Amino acid sequence: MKRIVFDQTKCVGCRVCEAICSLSNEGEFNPEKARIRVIRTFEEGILYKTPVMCMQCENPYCQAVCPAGAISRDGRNAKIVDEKKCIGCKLCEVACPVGAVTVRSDRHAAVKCSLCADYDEPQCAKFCFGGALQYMEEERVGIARAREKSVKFLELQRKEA
Amino acid sequence: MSNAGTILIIDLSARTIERIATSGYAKEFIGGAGVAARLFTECVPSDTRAFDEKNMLIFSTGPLTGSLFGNKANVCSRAPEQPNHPYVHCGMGGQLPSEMKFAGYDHIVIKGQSEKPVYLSIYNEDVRFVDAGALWGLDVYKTQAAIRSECRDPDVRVACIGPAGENRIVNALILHDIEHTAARGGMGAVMGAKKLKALAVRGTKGLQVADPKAVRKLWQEYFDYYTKGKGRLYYQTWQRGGLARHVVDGYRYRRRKESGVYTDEIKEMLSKYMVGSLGCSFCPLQCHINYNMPGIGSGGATCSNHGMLSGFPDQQVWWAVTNSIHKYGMESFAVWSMLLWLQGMYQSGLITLQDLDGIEMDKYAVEPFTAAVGKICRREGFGEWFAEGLGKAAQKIAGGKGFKTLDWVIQSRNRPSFSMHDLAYRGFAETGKAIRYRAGDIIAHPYSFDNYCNIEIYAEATGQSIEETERMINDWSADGVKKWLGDDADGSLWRQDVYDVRQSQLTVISEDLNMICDLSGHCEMPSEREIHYGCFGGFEETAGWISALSGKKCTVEELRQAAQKTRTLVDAYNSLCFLTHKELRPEAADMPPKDAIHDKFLKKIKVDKAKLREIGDAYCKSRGYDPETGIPTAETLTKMDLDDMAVQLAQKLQESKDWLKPEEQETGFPDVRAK
Repeated sequence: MKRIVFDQTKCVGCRVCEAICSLSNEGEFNPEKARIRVIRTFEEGILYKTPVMCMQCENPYCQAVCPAGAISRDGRNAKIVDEKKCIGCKLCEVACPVGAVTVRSDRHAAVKCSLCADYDEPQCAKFCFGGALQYMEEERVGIARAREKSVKFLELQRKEA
Repeated sequence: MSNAGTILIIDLSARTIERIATSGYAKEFIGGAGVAARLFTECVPSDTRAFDEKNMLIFSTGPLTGSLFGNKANVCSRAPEQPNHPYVHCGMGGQLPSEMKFAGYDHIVIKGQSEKPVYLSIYNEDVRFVDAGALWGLDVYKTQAAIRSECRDPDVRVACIGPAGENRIVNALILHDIEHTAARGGMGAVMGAKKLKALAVRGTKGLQVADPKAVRKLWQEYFDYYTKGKGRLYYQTWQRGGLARHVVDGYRYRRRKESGVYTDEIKEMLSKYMVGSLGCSFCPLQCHINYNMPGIGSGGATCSNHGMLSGFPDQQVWWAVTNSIHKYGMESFAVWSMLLWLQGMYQSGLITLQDLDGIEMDKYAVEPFTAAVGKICRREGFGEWFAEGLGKAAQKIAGGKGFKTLDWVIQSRNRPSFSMHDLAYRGFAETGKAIRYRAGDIIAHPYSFDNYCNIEIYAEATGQSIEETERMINDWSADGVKKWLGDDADGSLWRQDVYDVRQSQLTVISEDLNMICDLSGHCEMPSEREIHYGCFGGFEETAGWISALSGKKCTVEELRQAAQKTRTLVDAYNSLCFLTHKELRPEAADMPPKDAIHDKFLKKIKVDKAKLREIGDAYCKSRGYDPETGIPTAETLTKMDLDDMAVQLAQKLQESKDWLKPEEQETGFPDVRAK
């Protein structure tokens, strides 16, 4: 099973992920409709950027609180909204711990990341230039993280060698 | 469809809001600077000065703005930085341009002058005049924070002025976020004259796409080019603040070649103080830099900010002063030149400590330099000297002896003494032409190879030796020449020390390539490099992107016609402005010192004036301009459906014939014919 893995240190805040997401899933360029958002915060002359997206929780609150049973898990472990069942009550919006679900009046339904159900892979990860977003097998996530973190130690060892 | 469809016209005097369709202008001028030029020249009479009520300020986007293919805006107005206040357009990136499109506006036209300080709050259709009395006097960072807080929306995109703009300092800029600027020409002073503190835009409507599949396909090609293709090297070396490295290291490389002195300022700055990269929306390069220097301050820096870093003796002083210049809302190249010139004047005894209001300017230190910046932006004491720019100040101070000393700045810093923008070198043609009256120095140097390209960065990225890398880049440039001029063309024509009549053709191509970026909204940084390195984003790609976004076929021919028409329109209008008022004629004294650019800045190259004249004549022939005056001919204007300009120019030329006499003047520009 694959999932999207995010590395904060590689994110440059370009928002290509927002643009390609809305283009691929909505057929337009509109960050407001993107399933991933890069939150930009300026403080004292420093720009902080944090991408926010559905983490595809193992025990999703959005699914748990949905009174219409509109949210389910698909074969890729993505939590999918059935727009026909969704009543637009917005409980999922409230329940989501990361703010990755939005109810849109133009669709009368909740909208969230489906890991790009219509494509082979999530487009945000596919087109992330810096590799901050990666779509990888979950069993690789641990070792990939460990390898990234070990770089500092590797540098140290090289110096000492 | 890739245009948002609406031009928003705001009259600050009458407090009215009008909306007109973009479509009436987009067919001929595509968008961006083209549509803005037409709007401006239709509405603003030639006798207007930059601070007049009838002057307009236009924020313009293009059909690519808001997409994955570009996010640039142009800010257009009459420029107070120049002696004759010509019309200029200057690029500004960041998040604001795409936000304008998402709010539904291709262009925001600001007319008139407000009685009291205001800012404009635009949230989709909701446009409001908001009292800015409490913001007047705040620096650009505080202004933006206050507006975000007042709007209760941290995602509102704000472009604003600082105290310098409010005080109409001609080197004032408009700043957005922490480093995106409209810096050329003094746009901040124009905004200040209108008592417009800021433009705050929020858009949620998005940009409709005619053919999403086609756009996705083109994006895949774009992505592949920069991650797997030839563009990979470009991406590698320009990303994450790479642009700044190119600028600083470019100077460093040149200096090392000339003097053997090797310094490594930028690497140290990046490794010690860079906390992140900054850039425009949806651009993977993020070529600007976010610095945080403990005890000194944090902020953003663009490529041109770094121009002064090369060889500067103290990084902390450089950053503290540059950041303070930015916060006050001024253009750093220009203000740095003022400071270094003041220092030179003081050290030479031409001005005294009393003249400097007690500020000891003889050392490189944070306090005196930032104190001087504050005085300049507030017009306090000696700061008043600089309100009209360094050139004017140098004429006034110490009985005019200061003007001659401008040379010092150039010699000591190895770069131009005035604002980089008012020199109008390289592709920045409009302002230059207004002063020079014909294409002058850009013809001699259609593109400046080692100003931008640092061999060492490419060597580092490729693992090649310096010599191998030099050969590689020379080959790219030679390929570029052959691509445009044919296989029989001499591949060395790109070089600064070569004078050949065929360079006029390269200049026309280079200018057109730049102009289509200004029309479409694509960043010129990769595009203008097509001519050297075959970078993505030239005529064909731009036409393809616009076609896919709009669903209407856009051809290369249409793009080039729009680019040429825009340039001709701007040149005609600026000629008209010049002819309207004899008193606007720039004096020779307004020019930089003789040979300042070519002998000092451009590596002491000997200028072949006869050859230059020949190239200039060929350029004028290509453009359809009168080679004697550099003014577009009536025939050219009529052919381009610019009859209004043809009629007005004919009348003004007739009225001006008594004083419009050819005479050669010795100025910094090699081929100037100030008439």
